[in-house]
Amino acid sequence: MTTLVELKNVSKVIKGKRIIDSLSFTIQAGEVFGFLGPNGAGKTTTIRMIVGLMKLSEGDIVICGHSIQKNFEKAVSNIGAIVENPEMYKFLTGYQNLQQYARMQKGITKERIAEVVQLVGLGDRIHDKVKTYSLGMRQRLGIAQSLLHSPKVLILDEPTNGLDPAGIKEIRQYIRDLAEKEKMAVIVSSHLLSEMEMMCDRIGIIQKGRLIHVQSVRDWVDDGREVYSIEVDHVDTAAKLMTASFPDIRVKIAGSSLSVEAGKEQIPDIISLLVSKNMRVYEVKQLSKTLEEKFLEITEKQEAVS
Amino acid sequence: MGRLIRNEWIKIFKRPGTYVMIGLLILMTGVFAGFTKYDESRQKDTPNWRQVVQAENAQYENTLKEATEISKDHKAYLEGQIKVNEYRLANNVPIDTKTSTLSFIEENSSLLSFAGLFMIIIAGGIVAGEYSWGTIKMLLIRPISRPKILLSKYAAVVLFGLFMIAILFVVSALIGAVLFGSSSHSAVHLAYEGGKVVEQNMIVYLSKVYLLKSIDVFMLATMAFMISAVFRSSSLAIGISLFLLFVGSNVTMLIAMKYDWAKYLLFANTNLMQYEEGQTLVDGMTIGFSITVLVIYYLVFQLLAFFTFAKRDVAA
Repeated sequence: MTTLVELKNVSKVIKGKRIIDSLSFTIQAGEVFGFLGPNGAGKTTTIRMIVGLMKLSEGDIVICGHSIQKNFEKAVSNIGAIVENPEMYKFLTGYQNLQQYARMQKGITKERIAEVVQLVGLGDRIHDKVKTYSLGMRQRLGIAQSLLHSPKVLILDEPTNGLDPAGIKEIRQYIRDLAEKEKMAVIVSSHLLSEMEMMCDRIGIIQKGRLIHVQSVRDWVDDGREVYSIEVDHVDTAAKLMTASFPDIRVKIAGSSLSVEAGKEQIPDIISLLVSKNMRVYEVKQLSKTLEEKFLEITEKQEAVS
Repeated sequence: MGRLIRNEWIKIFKRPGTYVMIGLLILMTGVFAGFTKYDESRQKDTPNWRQVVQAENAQYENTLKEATEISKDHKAYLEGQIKVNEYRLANNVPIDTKTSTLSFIEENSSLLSFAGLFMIIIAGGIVAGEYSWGTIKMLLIRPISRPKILLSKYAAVVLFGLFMIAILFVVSALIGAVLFGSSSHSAVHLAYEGGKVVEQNMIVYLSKVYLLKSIDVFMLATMAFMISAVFRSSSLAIGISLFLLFVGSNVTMLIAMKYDWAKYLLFANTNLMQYEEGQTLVDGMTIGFSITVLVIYYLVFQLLAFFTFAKRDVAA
């Protein structure tokens, strides 16, 4: 796999405050990377630095082998992006907007513009003024302009913002296709965690300007430890028994059942323990932990540390 | 670069406001022509041009005799005018005693500040607008350096200014031709150069007048452009520049009455016609001095604009 985007110890200091603190990560071709974090964590600032809207205070960003600081034009010609909302010239039509951007890069033909319009499904509305567009249509136009020059790296800030459920599904599929078929590196930021889970290969969590966690989505969702709900007749006694025998698991009493966080292999042992003590086990079921819970867990842990 | 300028040109001309500006400029020219025509229709008989020229010369000679404090340059200018008038009488080169197309175009050069007003509005909005629309982000993530983008915007402003001036010139000529007709004699401008009276092509002379009179407009548009790029506020840029366009030269004149340093002010130097007539705002100013001052102001404006635009973090 080839590394298309590399951040090396990137920091941003504004008025003595470290907004971004030595961020380092890489993104490969064919990968969708999710950028996750609470508001004000520095997601957008990082994206602005990658596309060259903001200067770096320290470190470097390398795009397809070109430093954004030393070789801005070469580096940025490999990027297509939407930063925050896709703002367009409202007094121009969608097509005229695309023409504006087509003129700013070499080799974008009429056919390519038509192809991109077709791709995002704007159809005939492309010849209407942008001021008549809905947010969803503007989002589509934004994606169209970011793809005009067939970039190797695509950066989308909140790409599903303002789209209806059908549109979201379409865009999600489209982003996956771009990564898998065109071997693009896609960076997506979103506050919709369930969205990220379905779209991304890896997710990086940023908080207070630091990258606190990078993990592949699959590993993350099943890291071995899951939450199980166990329904028994005497919850209090069962809870005591379990904590005594398995010190590494976490047990919580939730009504008439127990909520147990444990590894999968421990479950049969737990059941046989309960059965051997003559407890009546009615039900054992796995509660799948969502990314959202994971996310909150990690950020809260970090909060407690700092 | 050409494609970038084309982009800017499209953005200017796809907005209805631009057509309102062009319409207003044409309307003003029309109104101006109407007044001139009305004024002329009340004048019953046209005076004989020889009498007019002789009266002018008598007045010049009077000034030369009676004025005690007269600068050398202005004296030379008056003497030159007398020579020109004598040449007219001797060679039978009449002056226009009625408005003609060409004299109407010359008079309409006073509408240049009106064309300049529109140029300033465009200059003040061309960078700030991208910030307020949010499109600056889309513009600066292209593989084009920021100075190049700014340069294309400045070029579009200059082209727009020239376009407005051309409209004023052409519309004045058209309306003038319809209302006043061409003058009855050959179109020449007489100038006094190096002790000799020379004949100049009228069109060349008019172009020179238009260009010299639009120096302040171009300087102010450059300033509006700079404020637009530095402060990202079109209202600030347009407000300050228009204020200076209308009161700048008067205030400079007031300051010049008391203080010599007024000669370093922008408006003391924008009027290069002052050297032709030899009446400078502050004694001892030369055309070389004025051009130097203008170039320094221009460079300061441009450096401020380009430096801040290239360095700034875009967080809009």
